[in-house]
Amino acid sequence: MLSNTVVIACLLVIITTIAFITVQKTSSSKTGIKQKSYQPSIVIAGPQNAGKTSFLTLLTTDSVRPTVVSQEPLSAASYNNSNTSLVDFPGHVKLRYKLSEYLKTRAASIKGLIFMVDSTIDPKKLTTTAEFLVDILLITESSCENGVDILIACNKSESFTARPSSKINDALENEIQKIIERRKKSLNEVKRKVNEDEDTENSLDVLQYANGFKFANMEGSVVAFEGSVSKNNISKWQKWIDEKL
Amino acid sequence: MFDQLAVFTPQGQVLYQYNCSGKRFSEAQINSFISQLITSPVTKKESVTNANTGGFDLNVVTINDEVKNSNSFNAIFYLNKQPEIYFVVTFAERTLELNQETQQTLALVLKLWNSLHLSESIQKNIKGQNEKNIHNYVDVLQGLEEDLNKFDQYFGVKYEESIKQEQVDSNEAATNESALQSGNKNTKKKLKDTKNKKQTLGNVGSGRKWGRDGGMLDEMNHADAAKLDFSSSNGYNSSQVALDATINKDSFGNRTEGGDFLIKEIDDLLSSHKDEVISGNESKNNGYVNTAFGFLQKHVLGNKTINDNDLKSVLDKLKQQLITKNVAPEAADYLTQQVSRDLVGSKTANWTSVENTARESLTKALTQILTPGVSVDLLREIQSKRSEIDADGKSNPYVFSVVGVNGVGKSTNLSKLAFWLLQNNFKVLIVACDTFRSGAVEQLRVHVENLAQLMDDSHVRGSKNKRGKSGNDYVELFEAGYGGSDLVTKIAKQAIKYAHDQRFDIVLMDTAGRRHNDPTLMSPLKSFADQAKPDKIIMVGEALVGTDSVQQAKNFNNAFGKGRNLDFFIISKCDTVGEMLGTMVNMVYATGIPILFVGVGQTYTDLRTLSVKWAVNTLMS
Repeated sequence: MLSNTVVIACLLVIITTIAFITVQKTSSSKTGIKQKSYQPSIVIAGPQNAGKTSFLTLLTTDSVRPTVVSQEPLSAASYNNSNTSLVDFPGHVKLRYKLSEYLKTRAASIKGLIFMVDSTIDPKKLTTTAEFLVDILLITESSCENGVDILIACNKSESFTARPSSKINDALENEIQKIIERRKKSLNEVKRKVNEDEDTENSLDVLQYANGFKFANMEGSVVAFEGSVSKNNISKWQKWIDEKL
Repeated sequence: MFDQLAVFTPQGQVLYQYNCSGKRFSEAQINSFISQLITSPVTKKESVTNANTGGFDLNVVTINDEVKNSNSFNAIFYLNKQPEIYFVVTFAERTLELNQETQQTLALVLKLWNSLHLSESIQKNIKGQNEKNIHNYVDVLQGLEEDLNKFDQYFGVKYEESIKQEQVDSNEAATNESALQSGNKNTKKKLKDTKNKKQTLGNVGSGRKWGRDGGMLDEMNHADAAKLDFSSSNGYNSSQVALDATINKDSFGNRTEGGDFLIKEIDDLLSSHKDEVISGNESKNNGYVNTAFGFLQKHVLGNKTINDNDLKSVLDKLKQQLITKNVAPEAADYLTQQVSRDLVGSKTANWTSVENTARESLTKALTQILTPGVSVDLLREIQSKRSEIDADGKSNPYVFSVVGVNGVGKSTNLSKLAFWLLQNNFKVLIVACDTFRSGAVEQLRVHVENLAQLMDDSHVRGSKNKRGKSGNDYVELFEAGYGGSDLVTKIAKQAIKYAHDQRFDIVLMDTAGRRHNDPTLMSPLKSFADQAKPDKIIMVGEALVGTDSVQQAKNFNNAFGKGRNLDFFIISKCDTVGEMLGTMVNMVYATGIPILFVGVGQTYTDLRTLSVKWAVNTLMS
């Protein structure tokens, strides 16, 4: 009768294995979005050469170092012994999908987003920067319940040609309004009718308000502060981060 | 003399920098190198492995900096895996001496870097196994200062020494260098194995390379000659290497005391490193590979560290899948390489098999390759060009020209584009630059009549507008009959002038279809682009074409000369291929140029912006 127990044990092993395989197969065949609880995080994003990696390096090592174009996200887990991690995403246009994927899957666990801007750019030429911000806002405003709080960090304030943060804030609002109008006209809209699965992140409705686009109308709060990574003048940004931690 | 040396991580942290002329290190140069690497990872890149590179697989790229200064430069780089570290040496121009010098320099850097165990320390820091600072963070450079200083010192001395030596006696330098390399080759057992294969292959056909279109490209340059020269040194056994090393050390005797001492120290370091690597390699050969637990981990449990063997069968399967979707084998190879680069050494998540992890990684690789490298907002560009008003109160029109192989749908997609632009209240002039195929002008006239009717119901077909041309106030046809290729540029120039005078916003030029591998047909494109200076050159490629699309895209992209590229692709006939969207991947893979629109049907409204997500999902399903 000893063999009976062995047979039962073997059967148990086989059954559980089959169960695991089926569970795994079904979970992977579906959309692939797993409802997991992620560690809360603060995201650092922005166009190329704004100073994102330098800023994170300064925050984590207290030193100003030269950096080059990032190709992979850089993260500092459990920053300052809190449960929140800081993640810096590459600003290159071709790599922005990493950020949008991250924002979509972890919408609920994002405590804040720092949008780094090079404040020496002519406000009239902010279009590409604003486009990037629109892409981010479309995700944060639609997939997060209360939106995501955003800090527009106007870097390089030490420069002679730097503009004050309020000016950049206004210029971005204007540009975003123009972009929304243009996007409504572009071929994007035609595309959506054909796509069966409705892409929520593509619908511009979340960013449309009666009197034109204003940051104040959004779900998440938006503030703009100036600072300078290379001169170690980041107290305002640090304060904002400390509030979020 | 090379320009700059930089060692950095893909996260953008600079680990080491060196400027040869003693100036301030310029990140901008390295940045434009990385940007090019991101936007067009495979074009203009050639792999170098010869006697100079010391067993490392180096890559050379030429960078044309479009943004800031127009002078181009070259870079030779090596990508270390685990941890990923880029070693880049930039240099001004591709002369034989510079090529050789930079290859040797980079090989020296790599050898020094490895013998100081810098990679291992960095790996430890990245994984967070080192002590954390007050911010609960492990700095990537933590505990490396001493080693990096050493590296700096050693590299400086060694580099200056190699330059001096070259000046004193170039022969001596060469033997010294080759001895070091062959010594190093013995140390790197693994590297050498793969290398030897390449070497024998390389030696057999070293002088020749076969072009895709069947022509033989003679590649017998100086570097290859050097490879042939030194190939005998590969056969040196270790005792001979040791002998060489001692001779070299003696030859340093008549140099300055300090430098001599340091060089001996460096050489000792390099040779001592060799034993450690061998012993290190042997201890690594255990694992879960053949055990039952390993099998379970691989397919069910997850949490397994992936190695090359695990991925091999999975990647073959994925590659086959891509090929059935019409992806060209070389593009599929590239994509699976990206996957193995991404995954080898990483751990699978809990309850995830290796195959699913690989699929996820492939999805990422596809997304990255299809995502445009620049943001293209046509409406904004048109508006900004139209708002530049000249002295007469008029402004130049925005000019598109459409190129492609015969029968891919150039005229059809041009009319679709025209319809969208008309919807946005632009005045469009359609120019018949196809003066070759019979009926081409008449075909465009039909399109213009259709569009005119769509814009204005009262338009009578076949009637002339007030300027005596086909069409109405919104859209008009500019035609000048049939003729040779000089006529094409003439029409183009006249049309732009006409559009300027008559205040058209947009000029759309249709060109004759041409076979991409016929130089006599392709060469007129360059003069056309030079004369007409279109704002955007669009290539129409059909989704039906398959593997040839790689070569089509390459040839059309190169047809406009050095200073001009295609701006974007329209992929037509996507409705006819179902899920076989591989052509899209092929064309972007071959050129790094984005797809902006896809044609999905027969009517004027069937032009869509590419949704990367849709394309990737279709390819992966």
